[in-house]
Amino acid sequence: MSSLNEYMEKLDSPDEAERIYAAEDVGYYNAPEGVPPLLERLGQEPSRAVRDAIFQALIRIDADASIEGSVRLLESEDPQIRNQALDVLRRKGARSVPFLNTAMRNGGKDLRKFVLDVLIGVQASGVEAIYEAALSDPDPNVVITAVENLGRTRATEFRRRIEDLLETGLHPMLVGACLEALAGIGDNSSLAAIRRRFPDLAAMPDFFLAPCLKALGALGAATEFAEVTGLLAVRGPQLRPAILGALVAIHQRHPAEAHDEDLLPDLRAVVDSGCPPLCRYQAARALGFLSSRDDAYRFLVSCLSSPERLVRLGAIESLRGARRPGLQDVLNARAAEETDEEVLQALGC
Amino acid sequence: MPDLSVEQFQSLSQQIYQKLGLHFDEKKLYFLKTRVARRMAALGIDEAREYVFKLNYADPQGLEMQALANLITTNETYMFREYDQLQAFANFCLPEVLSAKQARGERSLRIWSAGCSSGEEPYTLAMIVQDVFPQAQSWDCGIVATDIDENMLARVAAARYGARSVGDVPDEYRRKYLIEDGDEWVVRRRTATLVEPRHLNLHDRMAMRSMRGFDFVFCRNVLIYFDDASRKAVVDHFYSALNPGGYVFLGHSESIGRVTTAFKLKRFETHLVYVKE
Amino acid sequence: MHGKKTILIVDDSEFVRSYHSYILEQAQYRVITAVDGSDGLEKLYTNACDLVLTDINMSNMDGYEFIRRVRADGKYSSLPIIIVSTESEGKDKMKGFEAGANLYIVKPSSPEMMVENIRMVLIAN
Repeated sequence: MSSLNEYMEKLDSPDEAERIYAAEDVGYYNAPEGVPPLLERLGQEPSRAVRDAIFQALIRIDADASIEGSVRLLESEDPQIRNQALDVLRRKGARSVPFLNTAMRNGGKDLRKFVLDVLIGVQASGVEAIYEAALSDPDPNVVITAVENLGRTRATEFRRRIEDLLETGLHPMLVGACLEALAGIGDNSSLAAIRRRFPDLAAMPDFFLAPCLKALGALGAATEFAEVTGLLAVRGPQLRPAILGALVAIHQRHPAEAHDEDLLPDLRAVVDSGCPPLCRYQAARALGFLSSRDDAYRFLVSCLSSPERLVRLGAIESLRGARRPGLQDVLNARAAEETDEEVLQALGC
Repeated sequence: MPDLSVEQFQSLSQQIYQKLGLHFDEKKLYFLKTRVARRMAALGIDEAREYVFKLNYADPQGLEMQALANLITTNETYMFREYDQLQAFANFCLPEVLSAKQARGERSLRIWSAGCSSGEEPYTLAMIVQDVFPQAQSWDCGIVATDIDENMLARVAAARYGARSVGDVPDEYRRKYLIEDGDEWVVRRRTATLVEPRHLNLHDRMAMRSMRGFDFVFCRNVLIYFDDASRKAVVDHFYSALNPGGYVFLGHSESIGRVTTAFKLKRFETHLVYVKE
Repeated sequence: MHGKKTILIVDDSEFVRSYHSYILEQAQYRVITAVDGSDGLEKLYTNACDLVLTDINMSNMDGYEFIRRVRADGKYSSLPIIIVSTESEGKDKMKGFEAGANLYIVKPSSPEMMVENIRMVLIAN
């Protein structure tokens, strides 16, 4: 205990490094008695590095006191302290949950939102009850954060609740969050709920259409494929990645039915157009659906000499699915001229 | 080869950036795909979205991220590696620190090359210091080169390197600071004496505390292999090891801002560097 | 690039970054994103930005710290900065203005209001 006292004294040293080492040592000592002096020092400490060390120490101390202290710090005036307290609680994981439950019941709207910020990534019993409460919270930010978390952590048991919020939600940000979540955890009934709310894709603003496309990519079939293809020519370039992503995803799950010959000119335009290379890569990949057509096949072969390496890579991947006689010769001919290492690898395997 | 959608690639590169501080832009799409494919095969995962989920939400100790890190980083060491960053050091940071010292009447310069491996980095720094600052000989000037591996430290002491290690040394530097000996190159004694090899385990916090009073710390392409908690602990020690006004250099694509906000970001032309205020 | 203004969005939520990006891109802005204040500084230093939208509660480096560090650099003393935060009390807004923000928008804000506020701040500049 005397060494703990020594460390605690050094917390007030005029030398910054000494205070950092003292906080570290209190943390490694790992006794609950170390928590109050750390918290007290935090209140007056001007150095960011020392405050950091104090929080690292709170993480190391394996005691309820460090959790309780951190929950109180969630209400600090200083956002840096709040955020670091959040990190401590996240690291404590399941042990934090009972304390967070209390904070959720009694705290103001900002504290309730922070509780949810802690919970992302925490799997433990008791968490569902917190989310149940959060989804009915009067504050929209609490609800939105809850929906975000549930989608990201794949909490499928909350699927129906989120579908309900999609149908009744007023705020666009909440609706967007529900779409995003359902893209991750939705099923066919979720798709139906989405279509009830948004029967007409063409009329949707970008900030709804993008997460909706994600959901359609995960859940849609041939009908949705046809609707999405119509968007490629009419929506702005910023939506191309989302549209192409949905088309590729649906096609992969329904290769026979999800298929549209009319896509060829639009996809060619994207490959040629010079929009971000990643988008051109995606379009070249999407052309793989049509590689059984002679004109698409010829176009893909011509892409093998594109100056943009990502176009060459996308074309190679698409061509591999084509199973055409003479394809290997075409690829070998390209390999003879190719200088990019990764493209060579793609040609070789 | 698993199909990695653009969005999944962006999500992965975001996650890699947040956890390791490494930047992966679209030029590295294919590179990342092939490495991810290997990890997926090792884990028996078929779908890319499962792997993305695992990295984001089912990797509590960061072990999978470390496994991926081992595949996506190269471990080569050679002289004048990460030239851009060395330019920032030579053209801006070092002159700034030296002027400040001269103004204060101080005549010492101490650099720490942490995780120095076979020594190419500390000798590179020694060459740069002598070139930018010829008076180095009359000052108390030293580069402490630490590593956990005694075999590596023996190679630092030998100061003898093959063609692969010296391939990127600018001709001027090669002429002034190295001597050819058969198919190897030896660092000239005058330069080599600036470097002091020393055994140190970056995880040993008491040993780390003994490192104080440095003007520069270099730790490039070592910390990406550490888990989150250890990485933070090491970088926090670098802070204490530095004098005010001192600079820390991680690998050019490793962002120190991911690990701690105790350092201040400074910009010199196109170079971003971190300094202890 | 082609006369479009560039906006830097700093927020630690992937969903919020995406949501705001789509709103702003549809309004013909070019968008760059950052995951927290520290990343925000790096992105600001390596890109020409016309306006910054920043959250306050972010891990690693919070929004007030980010704004203070931006303002401390003479080059950015008149860069328009808008805070977009869930906190709505008067004292939070005061803190925001003291740190150097031009405007404080409470989340969730309607897309139309957000675009209008940005437009007005850019004109005023």
